[in-house]
Amino acid sequence: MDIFLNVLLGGLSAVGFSLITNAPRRAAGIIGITGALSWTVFYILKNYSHMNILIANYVGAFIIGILAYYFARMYHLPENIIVIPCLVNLVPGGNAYRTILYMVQSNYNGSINQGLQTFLIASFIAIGLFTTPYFAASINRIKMIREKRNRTN
Amino acid sequence: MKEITTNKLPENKLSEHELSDLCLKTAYLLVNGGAETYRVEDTVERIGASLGSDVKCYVTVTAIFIEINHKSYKFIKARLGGTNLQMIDEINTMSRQLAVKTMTADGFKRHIDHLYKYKRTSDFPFTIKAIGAGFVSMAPMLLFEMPLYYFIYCFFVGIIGYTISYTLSKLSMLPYADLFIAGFIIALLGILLKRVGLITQYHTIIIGAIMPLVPGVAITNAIRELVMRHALSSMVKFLDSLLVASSIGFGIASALIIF
Repeated sequence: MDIFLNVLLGGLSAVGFSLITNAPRRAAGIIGITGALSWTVFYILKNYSHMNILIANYVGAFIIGILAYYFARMYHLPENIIVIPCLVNLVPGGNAYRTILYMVQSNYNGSINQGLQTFLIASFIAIGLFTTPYFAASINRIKMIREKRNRTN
Repeated sequence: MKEITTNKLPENKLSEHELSDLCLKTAYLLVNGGAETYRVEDTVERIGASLGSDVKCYVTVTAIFIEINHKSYKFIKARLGGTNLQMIDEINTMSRQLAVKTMTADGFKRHIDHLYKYKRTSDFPFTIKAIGAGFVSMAPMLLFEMPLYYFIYCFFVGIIGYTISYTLSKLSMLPYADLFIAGFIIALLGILLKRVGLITQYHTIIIGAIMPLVPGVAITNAIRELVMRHALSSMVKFLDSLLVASSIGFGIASALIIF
């Protein structure tokens, strides 16, 4: 039941942000599926396993990256249209909020702590997002070189 | 006048002046729709290639430069901000059709002119956008494992925050003030809900409700451009998203300090 609620709300939230940014209507289903999957995996990793939160964010962003790469080529959409609405769920809003909250409460140690955590999470999301395009580009390059060698032989 | 010039030239061939205008308009629309700069450059150069000219394009966030066939240069001023993913998709689809010759240069030009004139594509009505904002603000509640009635409060507070930001950004030219006020009112509503006794703590409500205001497009584009080594536009977008985030944050902070 818990997981079902997560799938539902993760998808709805991604579609909701796609409405705000006026994404094309034909992309709504794709965005919903990508958002639901990435959010659910992120949630399971964060709340049910004792992994570092950075790993959970990395895996969530990685799933967004790989699905966006696949769907963008399948449906001829720009990758950005799929990535932007799905990524909003993973944004470390809680940490950013606590950075400001502790600053207001004059708890500067806590504020710097949370600020660094926000920065780290954002960096790991970026790394996760770029894993798939990087490896895909490398594999394509290897294929191209091999083909060229075959042709010359 | 336009009819005569297009009739004289063979099909799929625009004059140099028309082509440079077309490229500038396309790039302007893409930048205003929220595309990454390297994608804008790539798309425009590809359009030039499929129309049989050598086009070079350089895009920063505030200006677009175009060179056609190594001799005529043009530039146009652009502006930061605005998001319209539909626009990007439409232009992307059209340039793809242009490349495989299922769309003529004339038809493409007419479409771009139309888009440039009205600066808008099909858009969702505001009520649907607001409901979308409500759903966006519900997702963080799951993470903190809140009881179910928190979801409902957060849904409405998120809608109110987004509505305020949306209306104020339409009314005023000052860019970050609407976000400051929206953040202030969200925090105010959270504190009010606690004072009335409907909820036990307001932090999660605030975290959820600011989610629709997060500069998602700017952050994503900044990261992607930085990785593609378009450092200039990336830094501009990064600074913009940082300013947006901190204006929301200071809005919340002032509400927390006052009440």
